[in-house]
Amino acid sequence: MVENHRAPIVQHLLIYKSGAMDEPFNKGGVAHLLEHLMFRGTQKVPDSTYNDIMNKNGAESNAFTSRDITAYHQLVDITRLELVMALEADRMQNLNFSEKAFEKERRIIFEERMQRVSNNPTARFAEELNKIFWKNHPYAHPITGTEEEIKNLTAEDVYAFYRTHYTPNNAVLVLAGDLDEPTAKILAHKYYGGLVRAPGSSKTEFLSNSTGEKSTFEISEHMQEIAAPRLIKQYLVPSLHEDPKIAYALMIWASYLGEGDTAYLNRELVRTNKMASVGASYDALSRGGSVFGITALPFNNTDAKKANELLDKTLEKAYKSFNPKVLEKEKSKMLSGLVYVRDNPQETAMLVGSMAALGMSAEDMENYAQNIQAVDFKTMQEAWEKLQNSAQKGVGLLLVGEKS
Amino acid sequence: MRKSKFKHRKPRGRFIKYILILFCLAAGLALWKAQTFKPEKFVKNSIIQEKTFAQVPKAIQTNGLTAWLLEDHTVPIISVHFLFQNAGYAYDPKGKEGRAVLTAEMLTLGAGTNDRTAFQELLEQNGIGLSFSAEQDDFSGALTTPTANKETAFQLLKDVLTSPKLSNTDIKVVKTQINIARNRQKEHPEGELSLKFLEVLYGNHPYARNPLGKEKDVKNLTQKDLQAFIKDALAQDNLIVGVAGDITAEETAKMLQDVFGVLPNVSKQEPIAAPAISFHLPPAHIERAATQTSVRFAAHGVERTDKDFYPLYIANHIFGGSGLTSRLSLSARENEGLTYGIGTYLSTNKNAPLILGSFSATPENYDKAIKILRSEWKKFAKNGATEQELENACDYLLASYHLRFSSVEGMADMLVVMQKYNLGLDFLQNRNTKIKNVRIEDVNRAAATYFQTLPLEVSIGRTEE
Repeated sequence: MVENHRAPIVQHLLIYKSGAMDEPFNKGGVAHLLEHLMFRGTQKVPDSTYNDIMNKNGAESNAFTSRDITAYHQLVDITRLELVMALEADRMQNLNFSEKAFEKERRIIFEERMQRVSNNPTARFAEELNKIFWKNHPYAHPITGTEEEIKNLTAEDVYAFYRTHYTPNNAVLVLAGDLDEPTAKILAHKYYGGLVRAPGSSKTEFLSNSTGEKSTFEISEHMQEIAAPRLIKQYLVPSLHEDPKIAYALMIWASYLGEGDTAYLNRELVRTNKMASVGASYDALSRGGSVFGITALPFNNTDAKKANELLDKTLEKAYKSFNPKVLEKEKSKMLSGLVYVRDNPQETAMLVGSMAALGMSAEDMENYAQNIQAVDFKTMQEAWEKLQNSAQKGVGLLLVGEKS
Repeated sequence: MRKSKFKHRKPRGRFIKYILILFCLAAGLALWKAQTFKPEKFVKNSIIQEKTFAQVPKAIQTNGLTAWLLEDHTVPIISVHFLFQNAGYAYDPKGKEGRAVLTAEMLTLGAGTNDRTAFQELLEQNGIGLSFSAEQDDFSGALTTPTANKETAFQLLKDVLTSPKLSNTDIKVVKTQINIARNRQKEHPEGELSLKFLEVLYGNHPYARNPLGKEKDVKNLTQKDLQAFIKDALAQDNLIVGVAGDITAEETAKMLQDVFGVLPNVSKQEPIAAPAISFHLPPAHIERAATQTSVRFAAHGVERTDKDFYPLYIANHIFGGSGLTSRLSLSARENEGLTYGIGTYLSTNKNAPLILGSFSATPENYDKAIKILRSEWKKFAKNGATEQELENACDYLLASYHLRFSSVEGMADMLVVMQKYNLGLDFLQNRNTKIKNVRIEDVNRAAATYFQTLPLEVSIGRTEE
């Protein structure tokens, strides 16, 4: 719960700590299909009445499914908070969609996959790379499910996933906006307190280096419709809940290497006209292992084939040039904009909610700045070692035109 | 036999029937009570009741400059959004297409005594966000800063407006990036469609231009061209400023004078004539290998201050507005499962007010969905909306009113829009009344007028085997 009294509005966010990674074998897409069907009726609020109520009450209502979680959110006038809580609690336990709605929604998620992935060359490539990178891990599987899987999903598959995962003891509730803590407590108790808890969901637990074996790969692919090549470099690294100390250091490495105009790779490679762009990222919040990634846009195929070598050399230089003074500067860059997190209740809720859903405590969230400040130079070196000795490294190269 | 049996059982049967009826009534009542979900009950009995919330913007004026302000001290941040009218990419002179876009990218790469690295470090170390963009009509900027660093933020913006570096080295780098971005526009079918849609809609008018300019023109642009643009296009008489957040009226006046007072009084930008759009053209199609066919469509709309604006605004919400309850969304998505999303919105550009819409679907579903679009369109023109639809739309627009205050950036933006469309300082107080005053006849008149002929369609995808 985060207070923000700017306007009489509130963001209501309910996160289930289950997502695509919890799907049974061959049932890819079921978490996502369920998310859609949650808008298709309960015993008390049948068919699409939920959407009608949201519309009549001026709500900005939506939901999404990720690998790790499924989230339902509504931005509403504060006078509608109890209404959305009642509806959310109702659909947590009383889902009841018609066979017809099931068929329509299954077609819709098929169209969604066509729109987002199949018709999008970069998304297709990312999916292929992901599959190779994660091998037997559930992350290897697309969140949308494959086309084949979508076609074979049944209503019973959806209800099975629903019964297993949609319970109050597997959910996180966030309220951000114009109310105080006592009121939030009363309301949470009133609407969610009486719900039946399930005996603990059978959740998938995966650690990133489950095999322990080191492997590296390099793949390249040509695509006709691509106009500029891409290079994606990925390292398997610990996530925030697996190794907080290393995780905070990796956040700093990502920022130093590839976030913003002064980032090292940008200065060395883009401002000197060697590449069109280069960025680094680290998805620390993850249940099943994290990726430290570098994405580059070389100018043409010839450059692209030498890009990985160039990147490696530059990374080596980056490491050598890094020192305690640079570290302190990087920390203040990362923390200078912290105040913005409190501005928009939608963003505040999403940040707090995903951290809580992925095992962070309230303290971890409050102490974010301190945890970044506490990273010393030695830890930075350790994190770099982890990166270099990552159990799984992969390079994907997407090239322009037909293979010659 | 039958008769006697009936007779014999009659008394008991009547009794059982009576009991059964009673039981069914009781059970039905209980079931009905349990099953009826009454949304209004939750709103009426909400422990947090309607609060008076009346944020009224102030107009801050100093030496001929004006900024609208929404003062709000909830979070210690300040947002300043501004735009220069008639300075967008459609206003680039012939032969210099891409000048506004290149300038927008260059403005944050060093200014005053700070070179690119020093300038960017000042932004990053102080948590200041600064960006520029060249849109069709306007050249806009956004500055956001923690209150604690506002002096630095204002100084940096002032430096940008008076003495940007525009170094030749960076110009070369940014030109390459713009070129790559332009080449990549067509990688995705939707990207190719966007460009084609502008061409079909606007023909020879500058609105048809590629937002990233022409390759040849960008190549020839020089530092002098960018300097000329800044001098001619960024002036006080075409400037609109919206300020929101943790700043007082006095501080805003001072910022306004210090930062924007340095601009020349008069811009040299000439307005451009409105495009002549032929909405009656047959559907245009680009043949391309794709898993889905995507379409954009457009019909004539209204200006923001037109008397028909609110009726059409509500008509659009009913027909194809946000959420999953619009007629289009119900008929093509919810009831048929033909597409992931379909909708329409209004563009109130005074030169080319439009009703715009789009969707995409696999080829077989596309054929069905496009037929639904056309038939719903005609039906709406002919029969209009129902009283219930009007009531639902008004409820939505009234109940969602406060959501516009969710971020200071959104608020600063809203202030710019209010000025751009001459909505008046009292817009926020009057908006709900204007919505409530719209009657079903008004909506139906708007539907009959603006949905009279089918929209212009441009699509992309594979139609031939």
